[in-house]
Amino acid sequence: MKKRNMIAGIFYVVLVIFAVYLLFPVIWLVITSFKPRGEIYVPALPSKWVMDSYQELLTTFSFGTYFMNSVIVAGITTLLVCLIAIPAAYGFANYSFPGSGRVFSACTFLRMFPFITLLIPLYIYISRLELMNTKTALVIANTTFNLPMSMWIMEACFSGMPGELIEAASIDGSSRMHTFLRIILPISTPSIATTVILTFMNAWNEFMFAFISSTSESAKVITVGMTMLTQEKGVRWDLMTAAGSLYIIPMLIIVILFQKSIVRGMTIGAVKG
Amino acid sequence: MSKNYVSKKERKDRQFGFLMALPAMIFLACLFVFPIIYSFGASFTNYRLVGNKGIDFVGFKNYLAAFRDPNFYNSLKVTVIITVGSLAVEFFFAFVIAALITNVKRGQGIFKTIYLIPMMVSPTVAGLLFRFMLNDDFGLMNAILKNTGIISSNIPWLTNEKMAIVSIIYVDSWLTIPFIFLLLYTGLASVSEDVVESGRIDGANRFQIFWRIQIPIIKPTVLVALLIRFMDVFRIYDSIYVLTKGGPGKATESLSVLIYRMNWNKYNVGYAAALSYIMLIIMIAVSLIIQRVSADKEDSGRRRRRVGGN
Repeated sequence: MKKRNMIAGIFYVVLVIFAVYLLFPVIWLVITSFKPRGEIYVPALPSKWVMDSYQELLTTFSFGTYFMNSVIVAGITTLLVCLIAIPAAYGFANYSFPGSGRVFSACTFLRMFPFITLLIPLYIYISRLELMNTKTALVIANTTFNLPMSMWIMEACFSGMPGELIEAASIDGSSRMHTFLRIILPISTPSIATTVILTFMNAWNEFMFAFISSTSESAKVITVGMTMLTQEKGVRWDLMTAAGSLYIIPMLIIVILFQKSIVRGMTIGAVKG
Repeated sequence: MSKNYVSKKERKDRQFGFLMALPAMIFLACLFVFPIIYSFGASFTNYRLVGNKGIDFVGFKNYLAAFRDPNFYNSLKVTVIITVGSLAVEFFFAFVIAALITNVKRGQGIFKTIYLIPMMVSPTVAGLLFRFMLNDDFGLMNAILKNTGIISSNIPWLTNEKMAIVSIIYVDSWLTIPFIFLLLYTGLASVSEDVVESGRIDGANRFQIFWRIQIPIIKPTVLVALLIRFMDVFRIYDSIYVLTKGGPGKATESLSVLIYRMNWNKYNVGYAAALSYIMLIIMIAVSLIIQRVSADKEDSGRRRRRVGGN
């Protein structure tokens, strides 16, 4: 019994070390953001906790605009992805039509495409359509990036449902659309939640396309705005840490609230046994 | 169509399915498939964003040029080192964490939540954060190592060619250990209690149960995780761009960074497109090899078939 306790103890110690290792950089980011400007480079806790960095970030830099742009782009992208991907996944899963199987596998194959391949033509598209520097361009690009993944998740959900469910509904005289909206969708909320969260996260984190397509202040999103803090003339680490903290907070809230959905989405398909 | 007779209901069903899928198919055709074909076509031309106006068909010139380009070989080398290094580090640590956590009784939930946090940090922010922490002069990393007496002079984490690659592997693994951990943990947790229990009754100890029963069962999970991570790390871009911009020199210029530079700094669209297709071919080839290996192992190990592939 004693030996067993000791082994458990060692396990806990190692687990705590890993927890510190993984968590510490984030904690340091937040701590640094509350330091007075002069202490940024001091490897210690702040002598007094101040909000200077946040104040400057929000007043002299248009960080609020970047933040809102990110919220708008990620929000609309998520809505659009749901509107397009969920019905499509349902169609593919339950009402096969000639060629539907092949089309669906082609859609999921797109998931493994390197974005950089897609980036060049998308960039040309966007500039031809004169959508450079607009949030519309970012919404279009993010929707494109996230559609295949979302369709995959939702298809897995719909095809896992018993076929009798739809049949029973149709015998009861419910139309196909009605069955989908009133019977299927309400019981699919866990998968829909997964799709929503993962799409929002991806769009919130997207950097490469936003970086090349937005040069004006009005269309810059948070990822692009942040890299600017460390690239233009003086590198402002104090502001970077404040921006980083503000950036991470929505994500942290999402993780803690929706851990289950995220885990499901990330492991879907990978753990089929 | 083998069936000639299609009932009215069936025809309506097909129609419904088609209409539901139509918006997605149109969207993907316009914004995914067409661009892919477009850039594939561009890879056979001398198209430039700026400079010459005419676009000429040049055949395989861009592809051949890649194989004579030292930049291409350099970035291929960098990408392979980062890929192999990251995967090795990530899987090792994720595996240790998953193995330990499934064998402790209390606190699994809290540890799991903590371990997931880096996954939510975007590569861009992680890149910036570590550029701050790994700074030669004032970075926290050097300060800690110096104060604890591990090193006597500052380590040039991001300005030395060799250390820069190590730093990128470090940052990438920090970001993705959570994801692999999660897959392994979920896999281990899905091993049914009955199997573990029957092992215990047969007199196996904890380590034997883990190595002989749980690990073989999650092998497919490990290979899927490997596949997903390979595809991600091979196209690594964001964190490198923010951390080192491919430098010092070209020491950390991965394929994606090279393609980016060719396209947006040199405006050589045709060449960049050709490079991106070479990259895609390498990725597909390696993915197929990984899948092949996994299929072989599964067939010989425990006669179980994977239905379809992704």
